[in-house]
Amino acid sequence: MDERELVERARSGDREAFSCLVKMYEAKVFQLAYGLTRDRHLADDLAQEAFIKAYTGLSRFESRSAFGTWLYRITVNQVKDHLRRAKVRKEVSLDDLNPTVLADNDGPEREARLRARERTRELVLRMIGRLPEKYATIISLRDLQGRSYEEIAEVLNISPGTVDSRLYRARKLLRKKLEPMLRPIGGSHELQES
Amino acid sequence: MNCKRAENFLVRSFDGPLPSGQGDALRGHLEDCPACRQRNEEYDLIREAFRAFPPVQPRPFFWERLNAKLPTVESSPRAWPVFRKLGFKLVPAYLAVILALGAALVFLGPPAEAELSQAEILLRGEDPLTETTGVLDETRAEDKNMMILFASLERPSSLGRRMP
Repeated sequence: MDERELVERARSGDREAFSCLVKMYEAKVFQLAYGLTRDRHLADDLAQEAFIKAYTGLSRFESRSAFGTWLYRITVNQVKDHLRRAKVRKEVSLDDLNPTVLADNDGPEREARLRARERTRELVLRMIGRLPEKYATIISLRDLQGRSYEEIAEVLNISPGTVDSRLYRARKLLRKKLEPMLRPIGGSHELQES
Repeated sequence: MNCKRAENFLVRSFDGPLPSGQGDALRGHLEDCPACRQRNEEYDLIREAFRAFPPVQPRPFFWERLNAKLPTVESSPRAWPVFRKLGFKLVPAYLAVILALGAALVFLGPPAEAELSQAEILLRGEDPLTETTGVLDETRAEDKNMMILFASLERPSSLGRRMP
């Protein structure tokens, strides 16, 4: 049964059809919410709420866009609303961002490099959460979720040109914010290579 | 190539390899510019972090938990989407119906009550001086004055009678 048919059946109250749609999209919706909140429990709750909204709003879905795109739009709005309401955007503590922690050279060289890489990953993810909401959303959709420009444009209801320029500014801003923390890592790499 | 353009290319390279001309120009610039080389390393670290984004999964029994929360949705009547689709197209028809109803009300509605002449009032056996008698019969001076005052505010009819 194809997606369109599942949507039609779910629209008329068929739970079985809706469960198929949920299983198709639960991981993607959850990852989108997780990319924006970096909190597993919260992302899980928000994903559930997004599906409930989709279920109750199925009669308003007009199939002009793909069901997945519509669902992502609901999820993004759900997360945005939550972040705005609860102001849960966590402050990154100074300890978390301490460059000396990142440039950890204890232990064998390889292990230290792996640890540093893992911390960089964590740091980058946290810093995405510190970006203005529109930049965090677009980086999450493109760089963490791998959505196409066209899909992002539909989800966020903006033109592909705006996606392009906003993404450019978002990546640039992310690097700028990370610069003081990444320098020691880059430095250690350079030292290791020479 | 200047540093601004180089950074533009570095950011663009997140979406895939640059066209060969741009890639070569960028590599040439990076060889000569330590600041952009540093920037390139930082972008590399960010890109690497993106690639290592963990394949997180929702908590177990996602559907079961969700199913328990889903409200019962009544099956929506089939006519509704058709109505919604045709809704705007039917606007002229709605207007025509409203105009027809308005015309019917104007032409078929109850006739306006005609003002009666004094002769007609007399023919009906009614007293044309009812209001005046009421004023004259009033014993309290204050009430009488008020009645005269209110009567003077009423609109005079074409027949010279004051209409309420």
